[in-house]
Amino acid sequence: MFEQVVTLLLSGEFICNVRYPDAWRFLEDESQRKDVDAYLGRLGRRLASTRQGGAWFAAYQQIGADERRAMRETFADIKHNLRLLVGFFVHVMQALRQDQFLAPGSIIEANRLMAAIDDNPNLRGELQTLAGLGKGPVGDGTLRGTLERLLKKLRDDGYLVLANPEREIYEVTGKIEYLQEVVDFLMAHQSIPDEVGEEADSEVQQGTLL
Amino acid sequence: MSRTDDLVIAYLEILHRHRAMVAAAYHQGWVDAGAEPATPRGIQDLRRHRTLVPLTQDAFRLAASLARHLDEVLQKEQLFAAVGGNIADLAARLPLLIDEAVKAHLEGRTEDLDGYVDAFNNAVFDLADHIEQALQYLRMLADTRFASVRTLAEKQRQNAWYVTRAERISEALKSLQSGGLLDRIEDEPAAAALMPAFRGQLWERLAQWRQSLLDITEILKTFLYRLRQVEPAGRRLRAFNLFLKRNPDYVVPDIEELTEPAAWAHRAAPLAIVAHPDLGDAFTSEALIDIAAKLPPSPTVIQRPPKVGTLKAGADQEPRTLVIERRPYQLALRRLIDEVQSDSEPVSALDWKRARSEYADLPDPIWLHCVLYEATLARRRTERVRFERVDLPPPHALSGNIVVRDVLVRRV
Repeated sequence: MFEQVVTLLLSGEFICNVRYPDAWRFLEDESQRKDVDAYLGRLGRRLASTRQGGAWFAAYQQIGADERRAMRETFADIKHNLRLLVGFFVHVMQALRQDQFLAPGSIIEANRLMAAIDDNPNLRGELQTLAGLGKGPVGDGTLRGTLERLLKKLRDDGYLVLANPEREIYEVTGKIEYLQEVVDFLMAHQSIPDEVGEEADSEVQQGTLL
Repeated sequence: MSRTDDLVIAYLEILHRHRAMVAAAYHQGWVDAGAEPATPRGIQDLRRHRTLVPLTQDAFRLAASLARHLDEVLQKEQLFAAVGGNIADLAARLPLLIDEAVKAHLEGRTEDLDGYVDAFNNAVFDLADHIEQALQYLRMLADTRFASVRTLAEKQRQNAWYVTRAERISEALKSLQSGGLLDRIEDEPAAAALMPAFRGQLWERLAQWRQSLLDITEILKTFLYRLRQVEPAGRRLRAFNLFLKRNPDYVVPDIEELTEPAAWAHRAAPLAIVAHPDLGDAFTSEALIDIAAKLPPSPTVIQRPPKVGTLKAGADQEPRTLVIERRPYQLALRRLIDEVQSDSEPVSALDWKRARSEYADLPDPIWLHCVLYEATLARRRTERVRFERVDLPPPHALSGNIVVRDVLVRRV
């Protein structure tokens, strides 16, 4: 398991209880964590976790010129995907009428989500907007196809796993905590207020009434 | 003891006979006396053994003790289950039973002593069983993150409840360990018979149970902490999404703009790890031989020699040469262009043709058409030759037809 865990970490994966349960259990043992950390240390890396502790990943031990260059690339990746990621998860929260954050292990039922979007013109429009933010083929143009394409992208990016293929039930992975940290940081950096205005909610409410 | 005399077997046989009713009562929560799978005989049998208890006049439910047993066997998750609820009470029985056993021994009541020893042993087994079950149940709840409830608030309430239950079990275990029961049994020769069960079933397992309970409490508390963080996190994500919508031009700042990058930004870039087999290593070679043996054979390309053909009849003869002859109008055009002099008057193409009898077969309209066509080709041979069309007035002003009477040719 040590080999698997180290390989996953070095290849940039987030190890969480949802996506890699065996590796996660392995890292629950403090002595194993120390071993992994020591090994990563010889490669200029260290074992780090998200602030909420829901996912492990490899971080740089020290920041030099090379590391800074790599961090710039990470930033570029975040820049590119941030709107889509944040938009999608908020969209899911709105569609499923849940105020709380989709924590690791949260369930997204594709059929239930599709039905909720189908019922609400506003959510339908939002979904199309989100689809426009992503790269790649447009798909068949149907709402269902659009949603499936978004879910696949989130799966490929490691934010979701397909827990039940037959019923199309997805589970949110620990990587979402990393996204949350990025958002928290940017909000603090840009002094964005923590309170949501009425606008966002009312949009969905109006959509429902229509 | 014969099979029929054994009350346990007899009871289990009754349960087996009416198993469909028992299962229906367990799964549905009750069974209707007038509907399948209930039968009057079955209701009567099960009521007599207190397996079914009346719910309403025509409905019955499973006895709580049997339902609880099935819950344990099937690890069915209950809401706010009283996990480990009777551990403290069961533990409180042990010192009383020790006291009674010692008294019976001192007073020489051997039969009573045997009874107390049996009761003590049963109490110890019962207690150990309850602790084990409670820990297993709590572990299951902690690992599944309270899967039976959906909303965050429910999960929070369930979690808080089970943290309390875990703490109560922990208290009970602590009192077992520090309550002096072991010293009491060791110091009292009369209680020596109680020692094997106590030591084997409880004392030696206490450390393991306490560790297990600590792990569970840790998981539950961590999960509770994370649940409490979830709601503000959701609010912040929505606020940020709204900000992005209101500011479509917003871009994430460059890393150079940040005085100190956040901890999350220290995430290391992925390393591309590729390994190649070491062909010099004997062990690797063996593995490679195995792999090679399992490889499908490569498709064989059969090189077929080209088939030797045979010559067709007459193929050895010289190919026939076809000389293309110039047409009369081509010859006439060539001649006309050659004969037109630079310093002479323009030559009428029609007169020129009519003057030469060899072109008598060439119709005038065709000839004029050929001359005009030559003019449009703008060939090198006619670059110094001018063609001037002589038109007849059109038959009608709007007919659109051009009627050509002649073409004047001259060299410049």
